[in-house]
Amino acid sequence: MAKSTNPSAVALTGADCFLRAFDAEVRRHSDAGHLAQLVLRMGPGFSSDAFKALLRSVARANPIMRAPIRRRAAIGTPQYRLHKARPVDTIPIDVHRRDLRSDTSPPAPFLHRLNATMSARDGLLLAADIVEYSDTSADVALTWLHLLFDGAGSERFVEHLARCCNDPEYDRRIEIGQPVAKQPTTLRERANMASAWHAALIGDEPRTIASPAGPLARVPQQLCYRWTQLEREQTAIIRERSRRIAGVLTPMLFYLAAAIRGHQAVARHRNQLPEKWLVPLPVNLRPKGSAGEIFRSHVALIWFHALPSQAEDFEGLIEVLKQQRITAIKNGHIEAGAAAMDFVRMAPARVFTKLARRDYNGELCSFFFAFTDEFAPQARQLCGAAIESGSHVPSVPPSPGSNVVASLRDDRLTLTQIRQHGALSDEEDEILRAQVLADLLGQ
Amino acid sequence: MTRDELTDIIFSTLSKELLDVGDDFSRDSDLMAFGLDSLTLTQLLLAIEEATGVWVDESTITEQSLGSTTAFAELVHGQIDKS
Repeated sequence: MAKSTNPSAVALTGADCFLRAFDAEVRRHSDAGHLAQLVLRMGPGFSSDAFKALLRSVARANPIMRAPIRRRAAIGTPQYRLHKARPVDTIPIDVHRRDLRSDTSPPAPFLHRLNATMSARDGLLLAADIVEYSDTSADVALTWLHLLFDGAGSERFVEHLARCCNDPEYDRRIEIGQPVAKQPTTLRERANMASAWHAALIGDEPRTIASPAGPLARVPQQLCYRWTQLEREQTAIIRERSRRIAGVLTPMLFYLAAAIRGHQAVARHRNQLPEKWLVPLPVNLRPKGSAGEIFRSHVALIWFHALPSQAEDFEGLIEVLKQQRITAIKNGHIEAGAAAMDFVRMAPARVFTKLARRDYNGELCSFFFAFTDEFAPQARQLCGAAIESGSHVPSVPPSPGSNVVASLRDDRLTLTQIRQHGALSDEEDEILRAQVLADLLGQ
Repeated sequence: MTRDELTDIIFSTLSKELLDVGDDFSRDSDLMAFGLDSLTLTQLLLAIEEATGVWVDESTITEQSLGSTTAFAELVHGQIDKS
């Protein structure tokens, strides 16, 4: 992996600041953090000791993984203070033991970690939990403050771990990289772009949205999640349908449409259809394979709007989403989104979230969604065991309280449903799952 | 616009503006293997529209047509001919 000189401080990107703001909001209102978690299900033979040593060696070579994040002299853009990185040994890596492994539910320590806080100010950005089972298989959760990696970056990080594990001489250092968004030169241009992105958030006309949890729930964060892993035959059907209906390069719209219709089934069950669905889709601005694609987030958001009437037909809904995506890209909304995030980098974190929640009476969006495609395809073995499956668990604030993530590994689809306790009942969670699967499989 | 001219435009846009590639990227290189994704493809379609005035229908794009710049240019050229 390419290396760069090691500066003493690295400024956060606009996307970093956006995520940092949500961490601040969740800490203030819900006693938790805006964290992300990646779960690896390891086959027999996994060595926890080897993993601990590996993670610490990579953290030792990369101070950004333990660097306090602060504004310089309390003003200006927040920075990773690399020269003040906390000691490697203070990164929490906890080992737990259980007899039974569930195919659908994560072990309790993973949920505990996901609902805890981390301290950006103190450089506590990452933690690991390992659950060992009696047959020497294991589940591993890497949990981090969401701004350290985005989803794609976290997979590249796992691949880096695997390379370091398989080759003790492999250089642990990872290039930090520079922001990739092209910055307009004037304040006015940036303001205009931010306004354009804001207009895209509002859509053609004001309508109300309704998330499962409702607006601004000032409650303790209590996230839980469950997996549905499909068989290869089912996954093959889904991929063929995705290719046929959504196209080769936009499978995310196929899964997004299913997620919208899943939530619509819940809303109908509640007899509370919203005026529209509003869902952000993260778009990674960094080209694949480019230097520095692991640390720091370089995502922007495309906003998708769908009326309940448009969501009545699955394939029709995908067409609506396809047109919105092309329009958004044509109109420069991705660059505008990056500029909007960058524009308010200097502002206090709470300004971000106030702005984000202002347009929809305290709601952020209808729900969160991600499709991450093939999971860490370059990583096969890690610390003596095969990586049997992997999945992402980006946390969701208590409001909107619902997140659907789809990912693939070894030709098997994993659907992860994340929810705030109480935002969806067990019955509603099952309704959502059933509708999503029915659309994916075409049943 | 000839097929060769179109191939040159597509290759230049990809190698200089959209993809992070080196000298090993040629007109015969598999585009997806060199990092073409849905975002960069759409940006490429915008560049093609700017150069030719034709918007390529995304639904006609297959994995085979993304197998090389030459193959993709052939698909685009066919659509320009029809328009």
